[in-house]
Amino acid sequence: MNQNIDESLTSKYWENIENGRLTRPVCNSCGKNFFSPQVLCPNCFSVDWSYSESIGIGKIYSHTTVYRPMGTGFPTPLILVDIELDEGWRMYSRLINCKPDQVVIGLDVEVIFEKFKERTLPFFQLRNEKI
Amino acid sequence: MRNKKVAIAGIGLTKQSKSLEENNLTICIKAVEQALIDAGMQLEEIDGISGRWPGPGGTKFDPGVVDWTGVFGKSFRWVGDTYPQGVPGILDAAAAVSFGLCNSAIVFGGQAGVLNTSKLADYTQPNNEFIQPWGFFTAAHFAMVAQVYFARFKPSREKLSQIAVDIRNAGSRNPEAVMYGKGPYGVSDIVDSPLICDPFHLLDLCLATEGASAILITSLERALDCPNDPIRILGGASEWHRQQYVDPVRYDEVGSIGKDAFSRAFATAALTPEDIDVYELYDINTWEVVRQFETLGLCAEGDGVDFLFENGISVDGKYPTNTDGGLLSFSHTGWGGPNLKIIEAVRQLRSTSTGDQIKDAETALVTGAGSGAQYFNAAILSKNR
Ligand SMILES: [Zn+2]
Repeated sequence: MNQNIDESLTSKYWENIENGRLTRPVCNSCGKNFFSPQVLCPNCFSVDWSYSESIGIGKIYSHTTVYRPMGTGFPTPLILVDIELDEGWRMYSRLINCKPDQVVIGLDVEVIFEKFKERTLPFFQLRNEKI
Repeated sequence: MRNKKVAIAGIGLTKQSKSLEENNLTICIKAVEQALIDAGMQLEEIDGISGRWPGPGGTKFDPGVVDWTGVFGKSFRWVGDTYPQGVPGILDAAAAVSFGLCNSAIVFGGQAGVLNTSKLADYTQPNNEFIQPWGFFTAAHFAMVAQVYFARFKPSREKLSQIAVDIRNAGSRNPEAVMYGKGPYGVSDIVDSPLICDPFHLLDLCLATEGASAILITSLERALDCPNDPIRILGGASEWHRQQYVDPVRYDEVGSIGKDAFSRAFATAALTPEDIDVYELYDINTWEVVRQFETLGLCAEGDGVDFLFENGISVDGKYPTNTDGGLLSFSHTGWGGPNLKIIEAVRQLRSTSTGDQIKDAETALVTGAGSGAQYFNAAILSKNR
């Protein structure tokens, strides 16, 4: 199945995550973000891109709360989210530290790093508007 | 060289069940044998095959479909390995026959003896590093797309449930459906069934079952000599947006996937969506049915739930849909599953459906995949013309 993403392409991403940094490929040629990582920039086909730190702030594009998780070890309910990062890229994640009925499309969220199944993952949580 | 007209001359369908005591190979061969008998043809005459090699055994070489030559004990002139099932499978086979790459091709697939060992079919949860850690699975991807639609258009949950009711009750009446005899269902059964991933309840979602199916495609000229009326493939098309289940799916990108495929398929067929007598649509969930009617242009975006509720999709409705019980109730066999839409369409056009037969059905629309999978396909079948 879709296992063909070269590890050398993404090992730096995961290394940065372990160090509490959310990064994504930014093209040095055209300046666009893209995710997931590709060998070539999907905008200009340049191979000259590097992982650049993200502000880790964005909005919920969509979400679903899973009440019957597939696979083992997931909590119930499990809030899955599609985040539109402020820099204009996207990623799937999980929303934590909130209840399913608090989740609405368009809410502001921020990244929060936590361990899950013995590795660090970039979760998101709702932003406190008072900050 | 003149391209030949093509037709479906035979279909095969094994027993469909939540789990079968066979293996992938034996169940597929059964379906192929049934399609040959149905078409009144011998294996010797088949010189094209299209079917994923499912194992056990075989190699890892591409094209994997060639591993089937050892099982069949013969050589072939054409093999389909790109997407050897469902609408893309029969369109490729039709093109191969039409262009003279082979004379008669069989598209087949299925699974058996798999689901009893693992509760989750592997295709539903690819081991992608940006998907798997979060706990995504097929229905959740589709839910991400549907959630945006629900937020924007606020469809009536009760009216949406009527779609599941109608399709599931068709399956309840169909002796060949996996869910035969269950139900009948009412709207409250759907909305009271457990939430799996909102907005989808358990009874909004398709089955995961076992069984196999096969479709035999040959020239119209040859099919006219077969025992059953030839079923013409009038048109078809596919859309491939992105690889499935890798990157986030977004309503704004895939909410109208199918529009281009429908437009090309209907243009080739010289028909319009209103000309269709029976709709065999890929009902991976109830909302995908709504989305497809909107994408067909039979109603406006956001109006589909009301539109289908008012017009009806059951046997006596204006738009009879998934007359066998669909993926919700008839069967959904993973690889090979998309063939089931074609099997039921052929049966409708032959007036031999074991589900809700639509009287004098002459044209059928079949579709495959959907928004959450980021690809879609459609074909138009007809008994005359
Ligand atoms: Zn670029």
